[in-house]
Amino acid sequence: VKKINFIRFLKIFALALPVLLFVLLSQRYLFYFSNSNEERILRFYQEERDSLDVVFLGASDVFAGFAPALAYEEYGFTSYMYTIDSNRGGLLPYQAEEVLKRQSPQYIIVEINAFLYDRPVEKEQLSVFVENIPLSLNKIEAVWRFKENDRLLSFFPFVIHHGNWSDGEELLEHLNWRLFAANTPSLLKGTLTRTKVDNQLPEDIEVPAEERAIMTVADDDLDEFLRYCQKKNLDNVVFVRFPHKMSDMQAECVELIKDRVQEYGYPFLNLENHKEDMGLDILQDYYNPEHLNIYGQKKLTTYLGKLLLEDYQVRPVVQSENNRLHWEDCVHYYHSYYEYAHEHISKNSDIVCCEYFPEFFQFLDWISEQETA
Amino acid sequence: VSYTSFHFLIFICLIFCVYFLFPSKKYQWTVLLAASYVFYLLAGYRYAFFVLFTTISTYASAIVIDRIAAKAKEELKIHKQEWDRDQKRAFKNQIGKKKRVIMVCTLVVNFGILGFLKYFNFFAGSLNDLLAGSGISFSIPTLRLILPLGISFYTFQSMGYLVDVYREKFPAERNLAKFSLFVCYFPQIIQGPISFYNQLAHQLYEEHRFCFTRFKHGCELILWGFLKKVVIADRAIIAINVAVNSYQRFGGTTLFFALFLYALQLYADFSGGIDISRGVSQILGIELAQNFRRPYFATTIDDYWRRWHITLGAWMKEYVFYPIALSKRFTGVSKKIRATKFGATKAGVHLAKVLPTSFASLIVFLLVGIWHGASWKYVAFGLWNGGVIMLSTILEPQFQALTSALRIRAEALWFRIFQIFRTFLIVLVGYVFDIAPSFRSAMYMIGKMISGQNFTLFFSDLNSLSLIKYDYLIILFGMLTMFVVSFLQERNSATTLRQILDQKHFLVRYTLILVGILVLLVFGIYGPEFEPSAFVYMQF
Repeated sequence: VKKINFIRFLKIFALALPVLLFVLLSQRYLFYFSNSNEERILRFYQEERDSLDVVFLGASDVFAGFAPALAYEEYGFTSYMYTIDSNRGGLLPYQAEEVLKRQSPQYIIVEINAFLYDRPVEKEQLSVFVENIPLSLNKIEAVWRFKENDRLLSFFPFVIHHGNWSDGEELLEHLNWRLFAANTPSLLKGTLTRTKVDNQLPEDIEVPAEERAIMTVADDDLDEFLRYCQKKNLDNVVFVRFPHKMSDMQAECVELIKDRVQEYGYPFLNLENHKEDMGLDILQDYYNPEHLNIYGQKKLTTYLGKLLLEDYQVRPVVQSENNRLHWEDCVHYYHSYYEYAHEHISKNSDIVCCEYFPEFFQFLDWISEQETA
Repeated sequence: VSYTSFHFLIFICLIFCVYFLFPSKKYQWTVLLAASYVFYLLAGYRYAFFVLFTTISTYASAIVIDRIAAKAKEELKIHKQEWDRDQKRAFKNQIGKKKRVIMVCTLVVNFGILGFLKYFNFFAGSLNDLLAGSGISFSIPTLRLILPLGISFYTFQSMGYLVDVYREKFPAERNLAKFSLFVCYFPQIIQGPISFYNQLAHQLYEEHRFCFTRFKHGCELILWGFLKKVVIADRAIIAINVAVNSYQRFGGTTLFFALFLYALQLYADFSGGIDISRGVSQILGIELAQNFRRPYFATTIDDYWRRWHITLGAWMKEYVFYPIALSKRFTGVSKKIRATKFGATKAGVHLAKVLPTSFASLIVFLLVGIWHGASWKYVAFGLWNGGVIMLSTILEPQFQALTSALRIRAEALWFRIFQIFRTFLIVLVGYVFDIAPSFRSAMYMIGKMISGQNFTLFFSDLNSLSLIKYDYLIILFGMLTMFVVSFLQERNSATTLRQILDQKHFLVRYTLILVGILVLLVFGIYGPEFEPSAFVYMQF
C-alpha cells in the first residue's frame, strides 16, 4: 500500500511540477505587464549594489527630463530614475524603501508631480510597481494597503496577464527581452522621450476643465512621505519641481508643497524659476506641455547635474572596473539614442524612444548600421 | 462563490480534507451540511431564510403526511376484520384527502414563494401593459425582489421529495439536519442536477473513504467542466452578447452565427457546470445524476429533451406529465374520441391514443418555458418546443407514410444525419427566444435570419463581435474537441470516456491531462482582466 501511495504521490507531483514551472516561467518570460515603466523598476535591481550617487523618484516629468548617462559623462556621478508614469504620492514611501534596500545614494531627488494630483493610487501604477519588485514585507504592505480585491494575484501575475497570449509577435519580443536584456543593468537608466517638438505657446494651450479640477495637492500623501523621511532619518532628500511649459498653472500648488516640505526641514528646488538659466526654448524643447523633449532633456541634465555637483556637493563614488565600463557603454548608448531621436524629430516622425520601446529592434539595427558606417 | 473562482477551488480542497479526515465516519455527512450552509451563506446571507423555510416546511409536512399514513395503516390493521370494503375505501379516501391537503398547502406555499419572487414583476408588468392598452389608468407597482440562489433547483428537489413521501415511495426523513443536507447539498444547489431523494439521500449520509481512482476521475471531470466553461463558453458569450445587444446592427448571417455560438455556449456552460458539480461529488463518493447525453445528436425534438437537462425532464415527467396525462379529464378525452365515428377510423384511434399525452407535453413545455424565466419570450420558447412535440406526435403516421412513400430507410446513416440537422435547426429556433432581449426582438431576429443572409457583411461583422481571430480558432478547436468527445461517447455509450482513457498508457493520459491544464491556464477567460460570466442556468 505504501508503495502504491508513493507512486500516486509521484504521479501527482509529476503533474503539478510542470504546471507550476510553466506558470512561474511564463509569468516571468511571457505573460507580464510590459512597457517602459515596468523596465525601469525591474532593471533597477540589476544595478550594482551601492553604486548609485543619486536616485530620482517621481513621475514622467523625471524620466523625460533627465538623462543619467549624460550626467555621468559630464559630471561623473551615477544616477537612476526609479519612476513610473503618472506615479502617485502614496507609493513614494514604498518606492523609497525599495531604493534604500539596495543603494545608499548621496541624494534622493523627489520630483513633486506625484503630489500634484489628489487621486488614489491607480491599478496600473500599482501593478507596475508591485509586480516587478522582489518579494518582501514592503511589497506585501503595499499590496495590502492599495489593493482592495485580488491581493494574492499581485504575487501571481500570471492570472492577470495570461491573456497576453494573443499578442503574438509581442510575446516573442517579451521572451527575447526577458532572456537577453532584463537581466542586465539598464543602459539609459530609465530615460524616455518622444521624438516631437511642441511649438505651441503656453497661452494657446487649453487645459480641459476636468484636468484643472484635480490639480490639488495630495496633502495626506505628502505628509506621509515627509513623515517617512523623518522616521528613516533621511537628510539627503531634495524636493524639486522640473520645468513645464505652463509654469503658472500649478504655481499655487507648487508653493504649498514647497512650504510644507520646508516645514519639515527639507530643501526645495523649483526649476520652473531656472528655465532661462538653463536656456530652455519654449517652442523647441518640449514634446508636450508637461514634458521636455530630447533637447530640453539635454539642457536640464547639464544644468541640474552642475547644480547637484556644485550646490549639493555630490561626490561621485569610485565605481568598480566593471561598472565603470558599463557606464561608459551607457554614455555610448545615450549618444546613439540622442542621434536616433534627433533624426526622427527631423523627419517629423513621432515615436517613443526609451530602452524598451516598440521600435527597439529597429533601433538596435540602426545602431549597428551607424557603427558599420 | 462561483464554481469557476479560485476561492471555490480552495473551498473544495478544504472540504475534501475535512471530510475524509473527519474522525467520526458516522457523522461525516455533517461536514457536507456545514460546507453547504457556509457555501450558501457566502453567496448571500439574505438567501438563507428562504432555503431554511423550504427545508423546514417540507420536512414538517413530510413527517405529518408520513405519520398520517402510518396511523392509517395501523387503523386499517386493527379494523381489518370488522370493516367492509366500502368502509375501508371511505377511510382511505379520508386519509388520502388529509394527506393531499397538507401536501397541496406545502406545494402552494413553496411554489408560491418561487412564483412570487420570480414572476410577480413579470405579471404585474404584463397586467399594467394590458390595463394601459385598455385605457385604464391603474398600475400595479413592481417590487425590488431578490431571487435566492438556486431557488428553482432546491424547490423542485424538495417538492419532489414531498410528493414521493405522499405517494409512500419511502418514509419521511426524521432527521432535520440530514434533510437539510439533501435540500442544500452545495455542489448541486446552484444549477442542479435536480436529484430524486431515493437516488441521492442515502449517498449523502453514507460513510465515504478516500478513493484514489474516484479522486482521479473526479478531477478529470472537473478539469473537463472547467475547460468547457472557462475556455469555450465564457469566450463565446462575449460575441453572443455583442450580437444580441445590438442585433439590429447585424445581418442575418451574423445573427445566425451568434445563435449557433449560443447553442455551443449554452451546452458548454451548463454541462461544464454540471461536470464540475459531478466531479466534486464524485471525489466525495457521491454519484450525481447525469444531466446530459449528447443532446445535439438527438434525432427528434422529443429525443433532444430526453438528452438535455435530463433531471428537469425526469422531474417534470414524474410530477407533472404523468399526473396530467393520466388524470380522469385527459383520459376521458380519449374515451370521448373513441366513442365518436371518427374514433373508429385509423386516424381517430391514433388521435385518441396520443392526444392526452400530446396536450400534457404541451403543458409540461409551457411550464419548462416559464421555469426558464419571467418573460413572454420564455412562454414562446416553451410553446415552440411543446408545440413541435405535440404536432410531431399527432402527425407521426403521416410522417411515416411520407417516409415509406419516398422509400427512405429510417436506419440509413444519411437519414439519421438529416434528422440530427433537422432537430438541431428546430432547437436553434427555440434558442432565439432564449437569447433575444424580448419576444418582439426574437421575431425580428428570426425574420432577419431568414431574409437577411449576407456573407460579405458577415465576414466584416466578425471583427465587431469583440473577439479576435485566435478566439474564433479556440472556439472552433473547442467545438471540434467537444464533437469528437461526444461522438466517441455516442459510439461507446456502455463505457465512459474516462474508462477508455484509463486503459491507455500512463504517458498518454498524463500528456492529455497536462495539455488540458495548460490550455485552461493560458486560454481560459478568468482573472481580473476578464469579466467572468455567471453560469447561464444559475439565473433560473
